[in-house]
Amino acid sequence: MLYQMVIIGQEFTDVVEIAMKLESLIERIEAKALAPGKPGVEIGRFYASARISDLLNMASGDTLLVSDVKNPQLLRVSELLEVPAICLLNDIQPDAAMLAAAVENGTALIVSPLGLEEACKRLKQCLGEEIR
Amino acid sequence: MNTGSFKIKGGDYQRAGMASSNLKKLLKKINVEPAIIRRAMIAAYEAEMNVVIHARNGNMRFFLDSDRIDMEVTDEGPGIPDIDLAMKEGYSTAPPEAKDLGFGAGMGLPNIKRNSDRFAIESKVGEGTTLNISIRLKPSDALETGLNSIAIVAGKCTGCFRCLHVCPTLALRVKSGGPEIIKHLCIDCAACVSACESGAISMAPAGEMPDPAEVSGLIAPPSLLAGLGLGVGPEMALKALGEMGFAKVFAMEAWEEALRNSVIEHARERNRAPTISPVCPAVVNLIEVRFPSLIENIAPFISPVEAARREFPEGRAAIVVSCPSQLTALGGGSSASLHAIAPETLREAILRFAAGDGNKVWEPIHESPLQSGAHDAQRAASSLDVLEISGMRHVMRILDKAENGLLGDVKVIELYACEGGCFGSPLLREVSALSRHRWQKSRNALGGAHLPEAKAVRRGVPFAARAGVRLDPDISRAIAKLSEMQKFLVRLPGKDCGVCGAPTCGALAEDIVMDRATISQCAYLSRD
Repeated sequence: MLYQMVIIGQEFTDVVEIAMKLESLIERIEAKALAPGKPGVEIGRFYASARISDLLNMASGDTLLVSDVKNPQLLRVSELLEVPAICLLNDIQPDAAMLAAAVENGTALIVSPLGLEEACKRLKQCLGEEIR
Repeated sequence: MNTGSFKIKGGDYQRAGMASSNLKKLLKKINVEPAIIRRAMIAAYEAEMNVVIHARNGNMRFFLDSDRIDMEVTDEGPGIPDIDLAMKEGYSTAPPEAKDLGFGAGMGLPNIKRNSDRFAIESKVGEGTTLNISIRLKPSDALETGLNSIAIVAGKCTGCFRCLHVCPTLALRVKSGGPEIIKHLCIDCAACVSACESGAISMAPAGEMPDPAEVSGLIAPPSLLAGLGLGVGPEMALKALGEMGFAKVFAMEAWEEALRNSVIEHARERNRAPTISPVCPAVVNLIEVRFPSLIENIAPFISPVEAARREFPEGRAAIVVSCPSQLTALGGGSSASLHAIAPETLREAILRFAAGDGNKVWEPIHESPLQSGAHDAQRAASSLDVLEISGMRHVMRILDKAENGLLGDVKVIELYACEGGCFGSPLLREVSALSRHRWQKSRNALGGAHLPEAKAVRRGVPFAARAGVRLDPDISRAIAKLSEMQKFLVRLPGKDCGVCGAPTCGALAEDIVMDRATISQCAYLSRD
């Protein structure tokens, strides 16, 4: 299977055949899982953005969506496009409605203390080398 | 057919997306491909969020058919003053609270357009906005770069090659299995339908004859009403339609006239001559494929057949199309708000009805159901401003002249792909000049007293060159292919004989580099 890795505004031209268990990625970005999602989920790529339209365009069934914006609509995007996991950055704590929506959708909701740059750097190391 | 409606509340960011979510459940229930659901969800969600961000209230209606989903998203909002600007990526008028949540990136409308097969937007400042979105449910249809309504029955092909040389965009190939169409080049002009005597090429199937009780109006081209032969003139045709139960029959001419007047007005306001009327969808397609430099000359309106459809936002309309390009413009056959029917379908229905009532004496009608259009005086005045050209050969020549800047003295050109305009469609049986003559004689008596309410409708989305004409989306690979093509062209004889199945040696060279053919198909080279 082919996976493509993307971060804000930059599309990595490298196409790699790597997928990682969400649990392993959680460790790498020092995150906590507040909603567990479906068991055994594999992540093939990640996309980070503060803009919902960008996330919507890039979301898919093997994408980890990463955002530093607290917005319940992230869960709606994950529901509509069957996104397996969402990562909130900067230790942003979701409210009860977001948590409930994540549980209902079966979407993993994780929170990392890292900022955008560091989180993207570590995720990139996990999912493939950047080629500019 | 399945229809539904969801209310959308402006400013409610918690519940936003519910309409899209409900729609997704329905699409999954009928096993729509995940890739198509994805497109539908992006388009639906962006449309829904537009209402939440900008309007007080809104509504999402959907019409689910066997081959596509139509969505209509309306709102009571401020309206959009400049639609062209609103369609630009990055342009946004979202309030700060929406931007704080990650909305308002100016990607909503472009995202909807990108994920739709058809997208139209109408807006009135102070009243609201309506988006119409269509997505085809069959993946193969969705992947086509060009949509058209030409159907091939390969078994009927006699290999006469007549179709091959009439196609103005070189979209046809004749292979051992029959004719094939390169879809992104086909402009739906029906020149091949006209040339094909074996019936191998025709218009794609349209809808069936509707139950008159289910439609709020029937819109028919005058060419059909006056083209049923000597025995059934326009009066009798209208009488039959009235007795069949069609309370209101509209002549398409009303929308053609409305468009003409609006195009003339538009031409007066601009300096770039000539202004090209979008009256014939096939000609618009031709310009998008072959004459992209003239796209800016096309007046920014939708075609009369599309405008006619808009007159029936609530109820189902039955529209008799004249040709494949009109069928494509309407999005194919039947949908939730439309019955698009082929002229032959209505012709047979009228003749069957008339024949079934053989003992009846057909009295002249006093209360015609026809709500027609043309004002002779108005038409005469406007015709001084308009150069009418019909027939693809003449259309190509005039567009060549326009492209070379040789039509500066002409204000408006009205171009029709068919010889004789819509009266000359190959789907109609009568001689075009004869049906036009009969219509002109009957028109005033039939419906002259009724002024049309038809109006021209401005396009929401600008005309654009077709992307599919490129050799390759990547410019460096396209250049490499062009150079390869030229090498093959030097080897080919330049006879343009068509024996290989391509209309010209240039077309064969292109087919070879695009992996659609091999050089061994050239009869001359094989002989040597």
